[in-house]
Amino acid sequence: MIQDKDRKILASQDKGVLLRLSSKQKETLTNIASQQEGLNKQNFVLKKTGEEFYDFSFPVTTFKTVKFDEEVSLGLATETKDGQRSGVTERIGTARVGITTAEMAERIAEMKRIVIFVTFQIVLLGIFLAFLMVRIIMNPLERLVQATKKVAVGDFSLEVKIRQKDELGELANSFNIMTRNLRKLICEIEEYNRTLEKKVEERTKKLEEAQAFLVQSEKLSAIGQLISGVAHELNNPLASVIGFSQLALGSEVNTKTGSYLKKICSEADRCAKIVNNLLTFSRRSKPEKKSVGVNGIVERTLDLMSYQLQVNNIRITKDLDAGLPKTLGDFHQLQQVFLNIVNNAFQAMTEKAKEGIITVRTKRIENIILIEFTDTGPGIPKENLNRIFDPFFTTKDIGKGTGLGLSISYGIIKEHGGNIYALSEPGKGATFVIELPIVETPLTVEVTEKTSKEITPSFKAYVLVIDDEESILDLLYDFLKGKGYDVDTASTGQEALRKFKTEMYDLIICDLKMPNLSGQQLYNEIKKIKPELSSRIIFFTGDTVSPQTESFLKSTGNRVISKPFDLNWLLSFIQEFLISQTELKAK
Amino acid sequence: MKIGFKKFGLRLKFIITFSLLILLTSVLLSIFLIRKQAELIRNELNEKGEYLVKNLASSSEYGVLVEDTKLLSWLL
Repeated sequence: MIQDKDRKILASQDKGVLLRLSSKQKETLTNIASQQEGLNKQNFVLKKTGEEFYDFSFPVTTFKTVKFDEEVSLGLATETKDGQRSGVTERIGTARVGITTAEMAERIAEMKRIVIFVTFQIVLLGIFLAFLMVRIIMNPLERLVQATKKVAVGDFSLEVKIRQKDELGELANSFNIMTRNLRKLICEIEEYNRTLEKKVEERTKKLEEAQAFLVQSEKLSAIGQLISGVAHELNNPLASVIGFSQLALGSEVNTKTGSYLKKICSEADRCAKIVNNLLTFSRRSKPEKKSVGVNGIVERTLDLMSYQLQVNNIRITKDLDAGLPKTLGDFHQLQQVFLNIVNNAFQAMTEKAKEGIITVRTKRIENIILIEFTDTGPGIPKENLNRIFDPFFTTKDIGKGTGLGLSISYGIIKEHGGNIYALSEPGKGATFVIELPIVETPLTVEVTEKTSKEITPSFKAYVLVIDDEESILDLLYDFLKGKGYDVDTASTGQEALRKFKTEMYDLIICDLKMPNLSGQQLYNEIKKIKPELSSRIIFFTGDTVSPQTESFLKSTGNRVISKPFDLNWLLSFIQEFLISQTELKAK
Repeated sequence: MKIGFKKFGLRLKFIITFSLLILLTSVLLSIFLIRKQAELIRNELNEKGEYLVKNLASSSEYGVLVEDTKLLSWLL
């Protein structure tokens, strides 16, 4: 629509929008449009159809130029030299365009439909992807949960199969490793449970055996104490028998009586040897390595067993190397080992046969002393050969053996730096081989070595003999008196104490074990009354020396003689002692 | 509500959470897109009207001056 400045419609489309407006609307729009200088936009709605329109209006202008004084020219202005149009702009009308918003609304609605549709698709796709993702995460997780539930009720057979290489895969892998380990552990526990009862039975059996061993040890200990007591009781009369028979032999007797006396002396010596062996065996002493002769230990062991072997028809064959050097060892421990082996051989042989032979062989091979004990018994089965040194291993009936003997022997020999092993073929007997290293020791003179040299006293001395045994007192009195000494006797400690107050002795021979006042107590009393006499005491005893007595003797430094003794040896011992005392006095 | 949500399984929790997130994001994006598009269409219409009316005003200067209705009608 085009209007002039008086709002008169100059041209319009036949179906122009404005024409369809109400007169009031038309008036309002026309007024606003004609008053606006620039572009004006207004929207309005057709009441009848409800259609919405945009009304755009723009002023139609022209240039007014004054050519002459009062002549005015309207119209297209002429251009000046600089390209500008000259003159004044004047509004001559209004151009108006009305555009319906229906198309725009249609486009917006279409766009909305598309966006909503796409959004809906995206949401659906998103939810689908969410489902997929949850499935990827949750499915293996649920499988793991199921597996853990099964594990919780004790079913470890399930393996979770997850092929993913991510954290869930690692989790499943770890879970599978865990269940595998648990399965293994449970198998082990089950296996252990199965064997536990067996082990308990074995341990119970071993405990019973250990208990039997303890009972046996207690018995042995009691027997040892009994032996010790008996030996002490026997040594005193034996000392008298040997002593008096030696005294009688020294006097004038006929040949027949002399031969009888010699037999008494020899048999009493034999008894003394047996008693001594028993004492040695029953003695409880701590291991002490000294220079020892292996042959001597073997002899002493066989002596100890000789009666038992003889009455059971077991013969002993000895092949001992006379030139065998001494070595460092504990006499008692080595004797225990030898005794153990001989005792085992004896038991094995007497079990199956009524006779047998034990061959003992000693020899030197380079720096080793080889000791072999061979028996003619049934031998050791191959399967047991490697186990015989195990603690508590025994093939003997309960009560007959504890299974500790060879084990202890093994420990003793190893402690000596040696080796012990057995060679055997079933039915062909057994050989126990002991290898002991030769350890050189400095030469020592054994002061108490008993020799039977005839010695006569070189000077006189006043000797006091103290013993509760009358026979010993009589024997020593007669013997020493006969050898030219002045001898005094005391049968109790108290009597001796009384005599010390008045008399001065060169030598005091004192028994260690006496009633009321023992040798040890007497020594302490003498030290108080006459200290110079304390060093002149020689103790003698028929018993084993207890650790307390041993430490007492060590602290005093006094000498000790064991009963029974050879009279000539005693004489030389006394003389040697008196000489040393004189030398001390001279110094 | 919180206690109720806790009762659900992990799967349901994941699905609900992801779905709500996707739905909310999509709706917000759609609203923003529709508004922006509508504004563009309106601007386009305004520009079109402005262009038309300015051209009409410029072209109809002579016709209005001389009141040549034929010419003006032809312009329309």
